[in-house]
Amino acid sequence: MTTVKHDIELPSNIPELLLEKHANYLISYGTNKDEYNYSQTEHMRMSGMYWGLTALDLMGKLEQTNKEEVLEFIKQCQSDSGGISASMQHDPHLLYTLSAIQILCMYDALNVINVDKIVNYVKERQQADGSFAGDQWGEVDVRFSFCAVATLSLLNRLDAIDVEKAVQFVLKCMNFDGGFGSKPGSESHAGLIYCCTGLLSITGHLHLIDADRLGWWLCERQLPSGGLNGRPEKLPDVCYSWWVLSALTILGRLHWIDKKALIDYILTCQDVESGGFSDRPGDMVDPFHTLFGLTALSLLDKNFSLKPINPTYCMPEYIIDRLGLKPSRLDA
Amino acid sequence: MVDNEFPAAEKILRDIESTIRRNPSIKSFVIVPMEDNENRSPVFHQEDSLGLASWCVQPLYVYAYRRLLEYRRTRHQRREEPSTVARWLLGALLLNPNVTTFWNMRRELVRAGRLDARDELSVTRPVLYHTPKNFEAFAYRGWLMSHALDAERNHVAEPGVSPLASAEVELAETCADRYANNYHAWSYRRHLVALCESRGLRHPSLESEWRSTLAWCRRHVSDHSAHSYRQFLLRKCILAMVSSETEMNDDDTVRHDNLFVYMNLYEPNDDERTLLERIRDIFARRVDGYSPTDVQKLRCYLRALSYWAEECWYNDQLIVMYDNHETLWYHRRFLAYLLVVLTVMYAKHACYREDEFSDVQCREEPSAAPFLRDGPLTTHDDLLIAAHVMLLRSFCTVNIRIIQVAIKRGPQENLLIERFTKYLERIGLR
Repeated sequence: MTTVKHDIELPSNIPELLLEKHANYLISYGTNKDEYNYSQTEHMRMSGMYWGLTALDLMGKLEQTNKEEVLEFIKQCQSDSGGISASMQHDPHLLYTLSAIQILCMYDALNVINVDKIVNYVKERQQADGSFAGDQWGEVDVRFSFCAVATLSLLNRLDAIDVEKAVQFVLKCMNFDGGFGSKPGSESHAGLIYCCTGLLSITGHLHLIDADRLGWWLCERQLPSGGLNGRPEKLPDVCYSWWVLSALTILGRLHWIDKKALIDYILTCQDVESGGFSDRPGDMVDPFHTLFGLTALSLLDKNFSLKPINPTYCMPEYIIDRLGLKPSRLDA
Repeated sequence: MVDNEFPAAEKILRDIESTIRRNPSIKSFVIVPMEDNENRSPVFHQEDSLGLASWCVQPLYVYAYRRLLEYRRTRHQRREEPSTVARWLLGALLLNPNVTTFWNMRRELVRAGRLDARDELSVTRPVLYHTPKNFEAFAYRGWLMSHALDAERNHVAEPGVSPLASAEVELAETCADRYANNYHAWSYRRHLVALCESRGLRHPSLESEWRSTLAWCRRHVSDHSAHSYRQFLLRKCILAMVSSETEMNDDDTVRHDNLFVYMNLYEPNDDERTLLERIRDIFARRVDGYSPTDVQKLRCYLRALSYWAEECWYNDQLIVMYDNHETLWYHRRFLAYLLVVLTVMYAKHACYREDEFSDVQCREEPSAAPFLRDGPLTTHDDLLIAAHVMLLRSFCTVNIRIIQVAIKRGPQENLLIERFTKYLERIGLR
């Protein structure tokens, strides 16, 4: 009988890391004015800018970006409620509030927005059980817990929320396999595991994780091709290189995976002509996968010409240092 | 200015909306690849399907998007009919359901009484046919459902039964059919079950979900998300069975019989067989000398365990039948884990406790070792502890059998077996 194969085969030729092309791809991405494409993606523009700018900073190209234009845009995206939206005329949401704060920290420009109002907006999203709704409409997800806690910690205002309860909610999302799902009882998922370990790292509660059990599940995400998937029986995808690796790094267990095989997989996902990374070899590239390809390479090998990335915040390490933040990690 | 750029847009949007509103049974929406033919409307309708010609997707979306953003920019100076805004929104969301703000605008219209929550469920249903894993669309439906159930309560013929909730479960299943390992579809289904439970609905129920998803999972042995949903249901069924005040109506005698068959699989000795017979007799109320409370408790716990045994029995069959399915082995890990947790919990408290059902309580991996180390069971043993231990032993026996079958299948399956046996070691089942 035939069996379903949830993996791919790598070509024999593994390309070099094409930093110059990636930088050009990201810089020109922002200037593409095709209206259909723009209106298809504007609803996540703030995160798109965070992906592009972080990737450029890792490659040492942040000064080639238009700082003033970005700051002006972010300023215009803060709503009366205090929250920040993905773009003008869109509704505020914790997802884009975090992206905006990450960008402002990178540019060292928190003064362009009203920080007190942001703190208040985030605080108002916390529910009685400690969870966070993404916006005023009440949808709850651990992603939003991470956004809330990361945002406030970057602003040095974690005291505004009930951290203990936020942690308790995250723990309720833990599963028997050591992983975490989006809500209590939901399936473990590498992206959500990143959010939960990230939150526990920021709040200093990593000791509540069974790191061996979770680390084991995370390592089982590596497929024969070297790539990582985010859940059992899914295809490998470059973005999981980040979600899985950052969680393993926070848990002090990065050495549990086959680094060489993963590096080959990620390098194969580059578009060697136009620059940028895709989810799998040969697919269309985008800024999202480009950032997570680069951040994964930064964690995997210091010899790539990339700045070190902080696994908890997904921001360049030097910025986390500048802010004086010390998210915790477990020892190997 | 905007209107002139795609003059047909308003008419097409009107066609889409009126087709959907006139035919609430429309469930599917597809984009039909075709070039512009000016004599023909790009909106198609047949039975419960809606189609849109591909040539108009880009201009129509750009039109609706522009109008909506322009409306948001100028809404303080200029009024627009809510029905017009709703029409733009429907067009935009059918073509790109990722725009949270547009769903929020529909929420605002529902909240203001301009759109009906129950109508909204059917009007926006085709979106999920087109994009069956869209998070925003599920979030919107979850939000709508509380409102819609309130409205429905005053109109249903039979109290405790919700046609709306049943239709939503069916929708979640269609989405699961159309996209494998559909995280959001199964999350939504969990949400629905919890919602129905909190509203005290008899249907959909845990039991109806248990039946229908069992059949579904047997047809989708690679769907890890669906199996994760089964894990959620299994716990819920067990907990509901042991925590009900009165004996629950559960006449699935096949499942109960299978429990005793499963308990017998490890080849018990004479004493143990006597013990098993006694448990069976009390379950069937064939013996005297036990207090009614003891009998009822034993019946509840055995019925609870019969869900585990049924799930495990199917997992045995499927692993033997199908090669190389990671999902089946992961599911088996869960079954191993759950049985150990139940045994440890029962031995400790002489009951299951809801607070200990949460995985985080088991940060320290539980271990079955103490229960397997002891010698054979005797007729003096506590009946329910004995029942758990018999299941543990049978489970170990079956593990050996299915591993013997599966190990001949080559390196891919061997890796799965190796991981499974490592897990058994961790929880003391080797």
